[in-house]
Parts: sequence; structure tokens; C-alpha cells
Amino acid sequence: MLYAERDDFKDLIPIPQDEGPSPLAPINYSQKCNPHRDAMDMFRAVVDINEKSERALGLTEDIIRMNAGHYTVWHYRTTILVELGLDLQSELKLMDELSTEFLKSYQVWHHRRLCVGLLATTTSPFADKNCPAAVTISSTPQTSSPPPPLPSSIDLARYELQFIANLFHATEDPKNYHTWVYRQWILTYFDKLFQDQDRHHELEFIESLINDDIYNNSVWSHRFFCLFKLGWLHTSLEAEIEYVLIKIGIAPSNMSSWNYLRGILKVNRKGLNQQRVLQFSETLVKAKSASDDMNPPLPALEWLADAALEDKNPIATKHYLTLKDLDPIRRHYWTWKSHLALSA
Amino acid sequence: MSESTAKLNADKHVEYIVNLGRAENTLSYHLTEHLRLNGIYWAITSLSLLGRIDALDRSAVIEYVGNCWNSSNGGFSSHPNHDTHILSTLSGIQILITLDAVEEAKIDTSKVVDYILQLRPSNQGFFTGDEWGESDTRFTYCAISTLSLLGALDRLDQVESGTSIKQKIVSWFTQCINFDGGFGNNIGAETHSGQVFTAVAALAIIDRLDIIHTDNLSWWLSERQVQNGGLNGRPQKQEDVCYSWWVLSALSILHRLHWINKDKLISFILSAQDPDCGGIADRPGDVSDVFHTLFGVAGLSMLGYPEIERVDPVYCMPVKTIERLGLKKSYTLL
Ligand SMILES: [Zn+2]
Repeated sequence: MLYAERDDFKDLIPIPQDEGPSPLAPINYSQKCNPHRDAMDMFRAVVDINEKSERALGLTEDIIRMNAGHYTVWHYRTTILVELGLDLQSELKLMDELSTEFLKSYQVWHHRRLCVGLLATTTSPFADKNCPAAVTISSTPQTSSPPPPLPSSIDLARYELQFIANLFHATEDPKNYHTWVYRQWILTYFDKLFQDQDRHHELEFIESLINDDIYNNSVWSHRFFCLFKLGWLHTSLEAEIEYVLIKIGIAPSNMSSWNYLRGILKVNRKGLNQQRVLQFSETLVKAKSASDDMNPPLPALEWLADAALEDKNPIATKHYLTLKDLDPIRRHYWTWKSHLALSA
Repeated sequence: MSESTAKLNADKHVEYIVNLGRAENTLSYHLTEHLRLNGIYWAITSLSLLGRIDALDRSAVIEYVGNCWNSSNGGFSSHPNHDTHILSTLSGIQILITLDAVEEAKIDTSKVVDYILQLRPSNQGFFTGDEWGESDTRFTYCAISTLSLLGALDRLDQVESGTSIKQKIVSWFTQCINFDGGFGNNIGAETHSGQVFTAVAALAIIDRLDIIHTDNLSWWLSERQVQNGGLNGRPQKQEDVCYSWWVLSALSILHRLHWINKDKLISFILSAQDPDCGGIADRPGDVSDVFHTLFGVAGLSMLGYPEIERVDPVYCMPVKTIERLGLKKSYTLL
């Protein structure tokens, strides 16, 4: 039923959008039934009298379900939740559903983050469903740097991590950018509360995603984030290199794992001339070149070339020229590299 | 359409863009209210690059953009009476400057500048999208681009707790540099071509490209070209016409545009044109939209495709407009 005809809204007069002058063409105002326009007209009536109420909350939910990108409506929803001190845990439950449905909407993740930030800094324990969070919020919330989370919110953090893990599985989209950014925010924001078991859990999660799809660049990027940005590496760098080499052995042309390998050496201020990696790359190149129908994995050859260039070894030029033949789409890049090697 | 015979269907695209405005009673028109001002910017810029800016009613556009300006907080909203946002604020300013109509629209630009400046949380080197916002390289680019277009970059020299805002911005971007030389939307976030453009262009505007590992990043960008000539946003993701903008603009600013295979990319973009209704889609066979139309045309422009006006890779506006403002930075087009 349209909002304009609903009994529980009959005290309000919907306000149609003042389209103003149309930039593109004359207005052809449709009188056809349009639930989105109907809800928006009622939304303007609600905003007009600044009504913060349960029914206004329901109205925002309806609009969001039709149009998850409408940030004005999201903002109004947040204000209602905060001003009425409504239960943010049930809001989070709703977000569980909406995040699945509108996975690629920036607003869904943004709103979730606001809710979690508020829940984590209020005294009501996450598990206590009967105690709505008593929240105060300034007119300009500095969500970029919310106060630190309370120790009791560790369960909330764990819930969020598990939720995302399930979501990746359910939506079959473990590369969704907003979701990864959100997960990294959780890991950063709750960092001090996490214990060894949580870190262990996260590394297992990463491992399972790499095993699902070894080419998933988001997971490799996330591994770097955990081990080297959050500083969770507890093994030696050599052990981590061995780990990557095993993964490269499975998919020798995978740029994501090769880039990761370069990255972990760089962040540890090491060059490409690691005996272990050179040997490994040479073996890969030789094995493939031996069978005539197969090209050597380009990143392995590229590693040998770049390492030789680093060493001012003239073999680099030859490698780059081979790469130019094997990867003609980037021939200008390889030509430039071969010139660099010649003049080195 | 075979690769060799494909041509840019400029007239069709102009027709497609002009017809967009005739769809006002459709549901999708209402569902995109939150993108309306961006949409007009994409339309105006496409038409301008196609040399047909007169195809839209100039005074109606100016009046509409004026109605999207919030004179109390200084920002622009995507549609009259919506909340203001940094994305629509940049679009509003880009439209008015392209039409050379800032004064005509009676916008108090000092208020716009103040609106932008208050979107930076104190002591931080990034800007947020609105007062609820989060840090993002994209919003930071929008802020820097808007300030520059309004001739107010010097406001970033202001010192706060011992360092200038500009220094804080540079140090934030420095922290955002990833192990592959690229940028995500935040510190530690996966490198993404779109975010790379925003970081590179923002640093170009404030003359601090020196913090970028140029060869490393340019190599990562040229790795985005796949066998059919198209570009993707991240390794192993599908190619998409809009990356013809994000990847090429960054490479152009870094003077490495020639690392891309030009002919293959041109045929990929042209193959994503809709031969019947006009417009360009994200990839061949999909429905076209004005966003991909602009970024396809802008990509062709940087590649030197004939009869398209040159686009400025830093501001995504016509070169002649940026030259008029005296804001041209160093870059290489093909
Ligand atoms: Zn796209």
C-alpha cells in the first residue's frame, strides 16, 4: 500500500519533489503508481517536521530497500536511531540482511561501521539483548577516529569477522572491495583487544581463501596487511618466503603471489637477489622451456631479469628481449627495460 | 562489429546523452537521484569532448546546478534538497567551470572552499565525503581538485600543530602506498586502479609526485591490460571501459602512457559502443550508461583518437578549460 494511502501516516501530507527547471528536457510528470516516489514524498514530509519516530525509521528502511545508495535517507536513519536511543543490535541484525542484499553499496558498510563504532563504545554488553545501547553522539561525529572500543566489545568484533567470512561464502564474492575495507577497519579498530587465538583464526581464514582461489589478489593484499601492517608475522621472513614459493609452485604465472613476494622483500629492505628465489625461478623457467609448447612463466623470467639488472649483470638484456617476444602487448615496457639493462 | 572497421559513433552518443533527460518518468531516473549532479557532469564532459556541448540547454543546466547549491553550508547536493556531499560538490564546480558560468550561477565560491576545508577532521591528512564520513583517497582527491579549480590551494598551506595541511596530506598519501607501489582507498587497502588515479592526480595538483614509485606503479598499471586490449581495475578482475580513464590518466600523469598497447585498447573501447541506441557500456554487449560513455570517450581522447577534444588527465575536464584557468600540469598524451 502506498504511504499516501496509509492510515498510520494520514496526519502527514506528502511533499512532492520540486523538480525545478529540468536541465535535460521538459518535465513529463508521471502520475503512474511509483512506490519510490510515493515513499520519497512521505520522507520529505517527515523531514519537513523533523520527526524522529519508529514509523519514520520504517519509512527509511523501505526506501533503502528500493534504493540502497540514497545517503540522505541513511543519514536520517542514523539520526533517528541515535536520538531515540534505539537498539543498535537489532539494527546490526538488519544490516546483516541488507549487507548481503546490497553487497556493493558503500552506504551499507558505512552505516554498519557507524553502528559498530557506537556499540563498541557504549557500556551495554553485546550479548545483552534487553538493554538498548544508550548512545550520545555529537552533531559532527568524528567517525574517522572514534574513541577506543571497550574491552567488552571483543565479542562484537569477533561477530563481525565471522559475519564477513560467512558473507564471502554466501555471496561467492570474496573480492568485494567495500567488504575488505570494512574487515580491515575492524582489525585495526579492535587491534588491541585481539588475542593470539583471534590472530591465529584470521590467518586460517586467509589460508582457506587462498586455497579456494589462489589468484584472489584481495586475499594476498590482506595477508600483507595482517602480517606486515598490523605486524602479526611471528615466523621468520625466510619461512614466509618458503610459504609463497609453495603457492607460486601451484600457479607459476600468478601475479598476485609474485607481487606479494616482491612486497615482503621490499618492506624488509631486501633486494631481489635472494639465492632461494633465484634458484626457484630458474628451475621454473627451465622446466617450462624444456617442453616446446609451453612458455616459461613470465613473472619467473621477469624476476631473473630484474635481479640481474639489480646486479648490473648483462644477461638482463637478453631476458627482457625474451619477455618482449612473449608479452607483445607490453613490448614498450620491455624495450625500455632492455635499454635500462644495456646502459647499466 | 569487426575490430578493423569499428569507428566512434559520435552522433549516436550525443543523441544518447540528450535522450537521457527524456526519461524522467522512469523508475531508474528516480533511483539515481543521488547521482544526478555527477550524471550531468559526465554528460557535459562527454559532449564537450565530442565538440557538442551546445546539445544541452546551457541555461537550464546552470539553473539546475544552482538549485543544487546549499547556500547555508556551501556544498552541493546531487539533487535539490538532498544532503550535500563532496562528490556532488566537485561535479557542480566542474560543470560550472566547463560552462564558464560560476558567476552566472551566483555561487559564493568562498563558501564552497570553506565547505571543503571543514571536511578534513582536525590534524588529519585526508578529507571525508560528508560530515558522517570516512577517510578515502577518492574524497581527498575531490577536495584537492575542487580547491584547485577554485584557486584556493593556498589554503592548504595553513599550519596546524606545527605542520601544514599539505604536509599532512602528503604524509597520509605516503602511508597509503602499498607494497606493489599502488594505492587503495585507505592505509593498507588493496591497490585499485580507480584509487590509484585519485592519489596520483591529487599529488600532481599539489606538486608532490615525488613520493610515488613511478616505474613500479606504472608497471602495475600497464599490467592491467588484458589480451583483448581492455583494462581491469585489479589483477584477475574483468576488463571494463571505465578503467580506460582510471589507468590511462594515471599513466599519462606519470609520463608512461606509451606502455599501453594503444590500438588494442581503442578497439576494445569501440567494441563496447551500443550501435543502436548510442552510448558506451562497461564491456561489449552490455547496456550503455553515461558514466562509461564519458570514460570511454576520455580514454580515446588520451590515446589521440581523431576528432575528440583533448581531456586533461588530472581534472577530467577539457584541456582548453584547464588551460584557461592556468592550472595545467605536466603530463603526456598520445
Ligand atoms: Zn566500469
